[in-house]
Amino acid sequence: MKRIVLLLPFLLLFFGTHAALTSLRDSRPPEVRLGFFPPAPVVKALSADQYQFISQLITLKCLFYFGTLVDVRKQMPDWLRLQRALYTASRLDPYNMDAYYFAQAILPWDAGKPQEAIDLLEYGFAHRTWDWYLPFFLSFDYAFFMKDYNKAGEFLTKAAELNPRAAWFATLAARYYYEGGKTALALAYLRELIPTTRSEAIKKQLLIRAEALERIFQLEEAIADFSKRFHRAPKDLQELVDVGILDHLPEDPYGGTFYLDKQGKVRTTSKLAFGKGSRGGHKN
Amino acid sequence: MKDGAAVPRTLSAFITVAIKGGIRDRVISAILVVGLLLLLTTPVVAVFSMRQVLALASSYSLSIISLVGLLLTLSMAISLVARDLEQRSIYTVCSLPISRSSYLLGKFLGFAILILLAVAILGCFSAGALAVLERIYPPERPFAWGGFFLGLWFQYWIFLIVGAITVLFSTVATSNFLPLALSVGIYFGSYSTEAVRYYLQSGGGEDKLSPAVKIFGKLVYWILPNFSAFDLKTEIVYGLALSGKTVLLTQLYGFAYLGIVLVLAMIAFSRREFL
Repeated sequence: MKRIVLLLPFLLLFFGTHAALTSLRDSRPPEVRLGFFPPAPVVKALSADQYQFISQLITLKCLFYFGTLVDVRKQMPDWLRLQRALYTASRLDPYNMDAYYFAQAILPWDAGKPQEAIDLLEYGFAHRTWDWYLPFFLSFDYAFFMKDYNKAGEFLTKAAELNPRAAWFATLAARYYYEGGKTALALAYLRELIPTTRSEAIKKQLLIRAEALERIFQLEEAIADFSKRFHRAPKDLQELVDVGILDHLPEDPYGGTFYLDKQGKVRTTSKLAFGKGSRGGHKN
Repeated sequence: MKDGAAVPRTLSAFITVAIKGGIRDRVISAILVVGLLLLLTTPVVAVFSMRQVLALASSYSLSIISLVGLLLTLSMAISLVARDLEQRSIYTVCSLPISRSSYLLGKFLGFAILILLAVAILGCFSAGALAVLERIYPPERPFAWGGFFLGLWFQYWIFLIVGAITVLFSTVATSNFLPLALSVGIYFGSYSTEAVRYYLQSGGGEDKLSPAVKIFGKLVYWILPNFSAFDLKTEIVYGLALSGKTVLLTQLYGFAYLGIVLVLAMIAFSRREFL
């Protein structure tokens, strides 16, 4: 009985502090929450034969960090820290596909770092020479973000050599490169990726992105229809509704508003990313 | 001097003693049970992977086998000679008409059999978990089962060499701590010697380091075992090709290194004075 009485104050203190500590730790800035990973050579030297598993742990930590922050709390992650963590993971285990896949899912789009994603993917493809996904991702990044269609074509050829499934994408891509229809290209790319995505956090992001692109595509087609009918470009998107081509203006799933820029291209105030603090968000 | 038949008999007696001692040791059993329980969590950890469930599963289970095996190796190897020294049963052994080398070799062979059993048990558990995951999440490339078992075999050789090094230090040390600390240090250091050698050969190493440091680095590379050569995790996890020549050379290198350490341990043990 005495022991149980002795246990009580400790239990009370435990429950009292645990909840408070949890909320305190949750309120830490994103920069602190991902943690610090020493450079890959240091980790490798200190971890004996555990470096490969550590690489995968770092990738999983990035995924959980991203999932909690973006999916649950609707906050912007620290993109630079995420990029560095994925770089460390790839240097610890150059074959770690999760690191490349995650980098491709977030760096070129949300983080606005296509070159950094390309660097990681090219490093990965130098090792995973059998994996068609890496040249497939590279071809998309070169075409969509860098507008380097020669490089895109080179990687697409490599992807098609490794997996004939990529050939259909090559045909489609060739047409869209020619016609300059970037939105349709991005949609085709996302439709290839979504069914094979296992992470729910990433899948949710890809679905939202695809939904936004579909609406942009719908607006672009309506603009083309308008130009055909009236032999001029619309003044703004509302004109598409006024003349009856569209019933209403579609909503941006990222919470922004679609508008026409000076060149007559469809843009959105959200830059296809959640949160106003988006650093270098993607310009659709 | 002993006759020809007496030596194997003595050897087998010490092997039996070492095996029985290991089986009775509750710490060793506890480590093994913890290892098996950890291996059961493999599917839980692996499903978090975005694109490579089986790769994460095999990497996780091989990491557990490596860690648990190291703990088993150190706790078994440290008690092989040190326990007899502590309990003073070594005096009885020394008074018998048997060579100290037979005693040491017998004990080490007993340890080698026990570690082999432990790796086999852990490996079977791990293989079972991986086989289930392979059915549920078929990988893009078939899982390299041959490479997996070869990797376990070489992992076993790492444990043998670490065990032999621990025994070597036990034969000269007066406390348990020193052999343990040195063996752990050598274990971790031996995974870095190859990287250090690459650095010494690189432009940065050539320019920045003094000749003395470079000679020291090369010396360490030759003295410490090169465990990076035995580490086939990347090849196993990603199904990369392994050349027969590499496998054969690694095996022969491991055999030679183990032989050297054991002979040195025998020499040190035969010269040790028990007062």
